Amino acid sequence: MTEVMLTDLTKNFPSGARPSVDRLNLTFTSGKIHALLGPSGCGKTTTMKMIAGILQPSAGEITFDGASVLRVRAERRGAVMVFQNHLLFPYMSVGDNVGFALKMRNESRVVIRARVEEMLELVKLPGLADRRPKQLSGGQQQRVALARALIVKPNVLLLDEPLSNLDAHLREDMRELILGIQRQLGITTVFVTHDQEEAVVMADQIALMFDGVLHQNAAPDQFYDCPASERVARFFGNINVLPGTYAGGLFTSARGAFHAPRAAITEGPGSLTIRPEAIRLGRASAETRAANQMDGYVLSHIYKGTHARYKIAAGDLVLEVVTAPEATQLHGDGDTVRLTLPPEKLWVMPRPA
Amino acid sequence: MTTAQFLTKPIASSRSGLTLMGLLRGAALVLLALWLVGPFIPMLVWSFAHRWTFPDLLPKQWSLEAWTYVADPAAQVLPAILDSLLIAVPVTLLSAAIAIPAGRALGLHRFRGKRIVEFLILAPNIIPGLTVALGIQIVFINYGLDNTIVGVILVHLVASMSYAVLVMAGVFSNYDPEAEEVARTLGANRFQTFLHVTFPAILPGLVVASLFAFLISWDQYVTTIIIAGGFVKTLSILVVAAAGGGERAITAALSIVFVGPAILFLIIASKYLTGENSSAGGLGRR
Amino acid sequence: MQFERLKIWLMLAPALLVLFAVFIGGLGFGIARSLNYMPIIGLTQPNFDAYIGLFSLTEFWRSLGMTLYIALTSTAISMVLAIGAALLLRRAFPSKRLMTFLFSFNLPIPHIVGAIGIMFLFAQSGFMARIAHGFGWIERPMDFLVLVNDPYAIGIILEYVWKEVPFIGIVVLAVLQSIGDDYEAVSQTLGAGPLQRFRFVILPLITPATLSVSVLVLAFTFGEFLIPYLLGQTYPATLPVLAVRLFTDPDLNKRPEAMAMSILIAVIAALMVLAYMWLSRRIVRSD
Repeated sequence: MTEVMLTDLTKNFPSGARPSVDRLNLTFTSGKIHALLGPSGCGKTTTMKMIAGILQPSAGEITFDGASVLRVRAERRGAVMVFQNHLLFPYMSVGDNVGFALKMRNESRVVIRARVEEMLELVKLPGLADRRPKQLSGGQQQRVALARALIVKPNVLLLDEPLSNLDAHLREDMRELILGIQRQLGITTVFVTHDQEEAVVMADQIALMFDGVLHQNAAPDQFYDCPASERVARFFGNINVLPGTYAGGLFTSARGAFHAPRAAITEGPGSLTIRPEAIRLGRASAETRAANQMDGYVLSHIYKGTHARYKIAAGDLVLEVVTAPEATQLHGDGDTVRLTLPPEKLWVMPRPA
Repeated sequence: MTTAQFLTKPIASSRSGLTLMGLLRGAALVLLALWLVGPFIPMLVWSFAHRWTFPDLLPKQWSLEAWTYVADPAAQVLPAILDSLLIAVPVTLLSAAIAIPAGRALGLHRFRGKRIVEFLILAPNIIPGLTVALGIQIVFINYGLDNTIVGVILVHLVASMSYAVLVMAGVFSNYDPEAEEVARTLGANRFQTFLHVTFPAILPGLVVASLFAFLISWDQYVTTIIIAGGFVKTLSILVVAAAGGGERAITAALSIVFVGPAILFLIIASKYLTGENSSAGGLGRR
Repeated sequence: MQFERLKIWLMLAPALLVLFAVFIGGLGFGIARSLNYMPIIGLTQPNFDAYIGLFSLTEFWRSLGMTLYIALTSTAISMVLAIGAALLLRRAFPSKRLMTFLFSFNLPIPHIVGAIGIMFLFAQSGFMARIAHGFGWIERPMDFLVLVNDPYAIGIILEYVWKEVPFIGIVVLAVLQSIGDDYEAVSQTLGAGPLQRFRFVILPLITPATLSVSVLVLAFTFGEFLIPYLLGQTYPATLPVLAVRLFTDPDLNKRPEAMAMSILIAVIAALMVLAYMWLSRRIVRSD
């Protein structure tokens, strides 16, 4: 159970013009699962390697339970990293791979054997100790890599894209295995991913980074309900963003005025956003539009069985609306429609000028 | 500080630039560099030395005597270069001509007996040329090929060609013949297909293979001596004779001339093999 | 299908022609001659006289020992230094390009030139001796160590090491680069210190490629004529030098022995490679 704290953590590479990681402040709470999320090249893996001790920060501080670890070499830090492509030592048996860390500590063979078998059971691969890594499937290899990391009861478990090399049907298993083991052992876990869905499903807390800078650090639902910026909203797949100005609880835009009690700003230029499933889709009517309503027409729609997804054009904006599947019987492509945006579902974000 | 610590990556080392480890690494690098260029330093100096007696670190008198000798048409050097070229150029052309189809067969096709063929082609890289030359020389006497340039070419060809085939097999194993099929469907005939599709694709590999073939022949000494000792005087024979004779200035100048094709090789190869691949270009030259 | 197979063999035909006519032919006639079997000149009764003659010669055994000693020593030293140099170059930040250039620069340089360079450097009146004099360590050339044409074949070994360290090193470097840093990083987070990373991670990863290229070096240094000819001492000479000496002997009766010796050199060189192949396959299988 270790709390990891990053303070103004910065990494400059000699080749890069701007820092790969720029003054990052983050706390990974003890015993929780944290996701470091962002597009490739955003500095998330660099951050992870700095926590592990493989890379030395250019500036800033890393503490484990309040004590600086910058002068602690990676081999003594107890922050164990599992790489995306498992990296099992090909010249060793599965058992020797899992027992590697204990061998490095000069534990006796008997102890190692017992612990290896214990670990293999933990990752649900009992009895495979004598196999070669090559003889295992991709999913099994990844689980062996996990067992190898867990055998020393690390302070922090670092996972680099743990699911991305797996087939879709194996991901579910691996995800449950990681979650199960994490809950059982209570190890502070940080995983890196570029896949927001993976982050949402697995993490207690998500830190979203762009270009080496932290943009939002919050529980998963916050990224949908109150994204920190338009960029964050869009990264989470939400294209419903209206530019305008905010004052006194009222958001004014080219598409009308909206009551929006929830906001990250008090006044000034802002962006209004709403989740696609919160918008109510209705028939166009001759009645004048009420507050929080706007008119548009259906650009396209897809029937998805459990729901339907509409693209609605409203002026120069395109909004996405997710409705019950029955809506497809009411609204076809080209139909004019009226959208209702409930005030309590709206969220106003700051908009950079 | 252990050796391994010094050799492996200084992960998470101190942030400041100069460390003891860094200094040791730097010193080792300088030593390595000196060791690699070391043999060339006295060679260069000797080639311009008039008299260079012990214990002078540099000659008291400089001169171009050695180089004048090397360039003198009346001396043996130019004919020796000619002989070397008369052997190495045909060996190179033959090697390339043999290696293109053979490399293609080995790189692109699977067939019964392939392993045996591969083994045969590898064998001249393991069996010394000395053994082959001593054996075949008996036959050459009967066919009047001993003491001739043709005989020398044939013996050099074994090593040059087998190496060229290995390189071309590697080239073709990374080659996609579907481009040829596309060209054929677009109306190119066999010759046009080879000229416009296959040849450009394999050219870098072919250049490297040919350069290797040339250098292997150029460097041969003992095989030439066995087949045509006394009759064919290549540059390598001249260099070895000079080295044995003790004329240091001339030996040095000859050595530098002898290295010429290798330098040319490096320049050409670096054009065709960029970046890390350039190291692969040197593979196989022991 | 039949046609396709014919086409493949036609493509291989020129290469096979050269191999069979010159290479296999040369070996075959060499073997025949070494067995005193040459119907053309009336020798129709093969025998092992030449081999028996060689085996009863003390010089042969001393030469064999010398040749093996040179080949094994220079290969072992080259291998160790090549690994060290490759590890060093991998991280040599400011001068990596220069060093890699020097490494590959050495590769196409002929052994002859290397041998001459070693002579200029290490002869008793050579460059090193002059430097030693400059430091006041020696008075006259004779005071300097005998490093060329010496009884311990140091000059020969120096030349081989000079030439083969880059050859093996470039292979090790390529393997190291293809491995990347991640295996080391992973083992480091698992608690492996620098020595352990070298012993348990880097070494096992580079061993297969390093050994395969080193065994080629071993076979080459065993069968090479020129370097021991230029830098070695007269007695005991290495086997290839002895073979050529017997071949060029005015006494033509020594020719079968020259043949026998050259065949033995080839057999031993081939056995080295075959033994390595057999061993490495067994190790892979037993894994």
